[in-house]
Amino acid sequence: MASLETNERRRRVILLGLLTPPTIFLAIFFLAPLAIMVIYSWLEPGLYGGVIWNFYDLNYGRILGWADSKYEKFDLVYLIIFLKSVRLALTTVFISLIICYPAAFWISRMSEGKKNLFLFLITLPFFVSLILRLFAWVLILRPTGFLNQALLGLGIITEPLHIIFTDVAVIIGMTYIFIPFMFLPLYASIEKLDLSLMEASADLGATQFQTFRRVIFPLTLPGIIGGSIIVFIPALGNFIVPSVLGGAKVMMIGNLIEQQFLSARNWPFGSALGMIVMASVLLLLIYYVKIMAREDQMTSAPAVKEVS
Amino acid sequence: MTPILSISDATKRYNTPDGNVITALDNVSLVVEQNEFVTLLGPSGCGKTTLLRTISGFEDLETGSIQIDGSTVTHLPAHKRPVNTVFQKYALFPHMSISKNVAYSLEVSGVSKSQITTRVGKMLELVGLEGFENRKVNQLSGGQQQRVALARSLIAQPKILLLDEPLSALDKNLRHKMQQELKTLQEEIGIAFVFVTHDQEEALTMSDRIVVLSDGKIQQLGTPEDIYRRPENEFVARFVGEGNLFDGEVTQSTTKGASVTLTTGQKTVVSQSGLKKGDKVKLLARPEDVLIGKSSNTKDITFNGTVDHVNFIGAEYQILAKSKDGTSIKATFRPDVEQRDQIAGVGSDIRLYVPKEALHVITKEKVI
Repeated sequence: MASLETNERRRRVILLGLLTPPTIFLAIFFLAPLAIMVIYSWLEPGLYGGVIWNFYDLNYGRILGWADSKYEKFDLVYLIIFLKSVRLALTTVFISLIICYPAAFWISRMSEGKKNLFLFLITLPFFVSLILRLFAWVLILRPTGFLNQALLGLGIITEPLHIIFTDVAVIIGMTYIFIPFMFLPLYASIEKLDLSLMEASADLGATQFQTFRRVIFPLTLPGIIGGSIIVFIPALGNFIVPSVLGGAKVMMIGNLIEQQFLSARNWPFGSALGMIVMASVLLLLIYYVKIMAREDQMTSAPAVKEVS
Repeated sequence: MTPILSISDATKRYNTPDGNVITALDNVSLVVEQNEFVTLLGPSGCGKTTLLRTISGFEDLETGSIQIDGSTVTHLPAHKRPVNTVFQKYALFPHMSISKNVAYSLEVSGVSKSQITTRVGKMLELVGLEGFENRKVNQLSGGQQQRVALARSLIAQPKILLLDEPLSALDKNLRHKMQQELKTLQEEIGIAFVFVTHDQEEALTMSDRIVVLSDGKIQQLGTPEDIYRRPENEFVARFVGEGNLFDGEVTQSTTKGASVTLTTGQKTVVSQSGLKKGDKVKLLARPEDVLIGKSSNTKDITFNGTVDHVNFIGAEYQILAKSKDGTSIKATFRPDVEQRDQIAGVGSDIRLYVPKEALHVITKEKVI
């Protein structure tokens, strides 16, 4: 017994030793900046940047509607920008889902070698700088770019399409950069889909559509939700794509926050905007975790073993 | 009465990745009568699962045709065929409750809610799972999952139930119990079962008729007794049960039987007719037909040797004996109470014989 106890104690010491450094690291470099953001969002902005250490709720008031118009003015534009960002992010999620779902099915049924090649190809863009890839899209989408030249050359259009510096360009760009993030969780849940379940469904008289609706879709739902969230969160706060492909005409919440921190030097207001984005994402995540907990209960591996 | 299933000249070939062609089914014809329990038996890769999958509609035939209850279904997709399958690993839907699983085929075909509830209730009662309606699949044991799979495939009242090695995942005791239950269930509901297995004991216990398959061909089709006592070729004799095979040559043949001289020089007679003088044959003797002692009939096959191996398997003993010329013989016997302590030990001399009535003549190696 005594040796058991010392073993247990030694195990605890080792665990403590191993876990302390990362905990401290995360606390300093992850939680501390977050705490600064939270605190700043409730402080008064200084006249020439910086903060005045007064409790000040008008940063949120400007956005959500209780500014007193003496110091700060409530302006609906911030909410409109936020909602527009949500709309662009949701569109991105939807389009990448439509592209990735069949692709994941297709790749998951390939032979082992081909499968690995395609998975590699999907992660290939990560090897090139994001900014470079986005500027490549500028070259493709601009009025004298590849897309317009091709369409003009084929006689499909007579005047160049104005895609660059529009919402469409931003959606194309975001879909392009986030497709791998949608693909991988989808692929993970589609690949482990048991083919015999689909045969069982057909055997029991279900048409292909019924099989999809009743078996394939519910079983791949965790992947769909997971991929959608992983794409939605960075798409919502994205500022690189709108600033490169959206130009001055498309403003997303990420650009607004960037402006507040860098140009306007109003850190408290930027923090408040950031907090609102974070709060909405957090709500979404809580919802996701709840759904996943329910799914897990249902789909964990069936035990093929007699308990007698 | 029209047969419930009739397969004629079914052929199916596969291309392997390295360019070879595998013939999974080679001109297979099979007729299953109403209410019959037919087992497809064979080693892995013999084509039994392919045959089952062509009946259920998951595999297309290259040539040949399939009729179910008189109507041709050869090119009908799986979901339109009046048959249901119990899959090897059950393939229960993990995201549905037990009652949802069982109700699946009724729900997709648009049966009314109230009818579904009554029929699911009855079905679960039939397989002994009442009260499990709202459980999830992973909360059930293997045997219970097996029953759910059965209930799910029986609820739509298929004309034939196809079973693809459904008992292979269960442990031995439970497997025996389920064999009995399946057989009883089949008699109770009165539909034809086509059962795939590689377990010959299982096939012998449950079937009305057994189809022994190898290399995509039917090696023999018959009752369990036919298959075991009167195998038509060496493959069947060796695959089903254990056996001793003696090589010999027909020296004389009449309408009543034939005389055979074994390679060991012993002479014996068999009752099979139709053999020709000079035919090379093999004589099959099952281990339980090999007796200990000295034969009183000169036409019995006798064997003198030493005991090489003794296996005690509960009710019976298996003995492997070797003669001086190197041939060996397998015998199983159940000793009486008095004999129990007198079992010959390894290395001791033993005399064995096979009554000539127990010999079965095999002329062919295999159907190819």
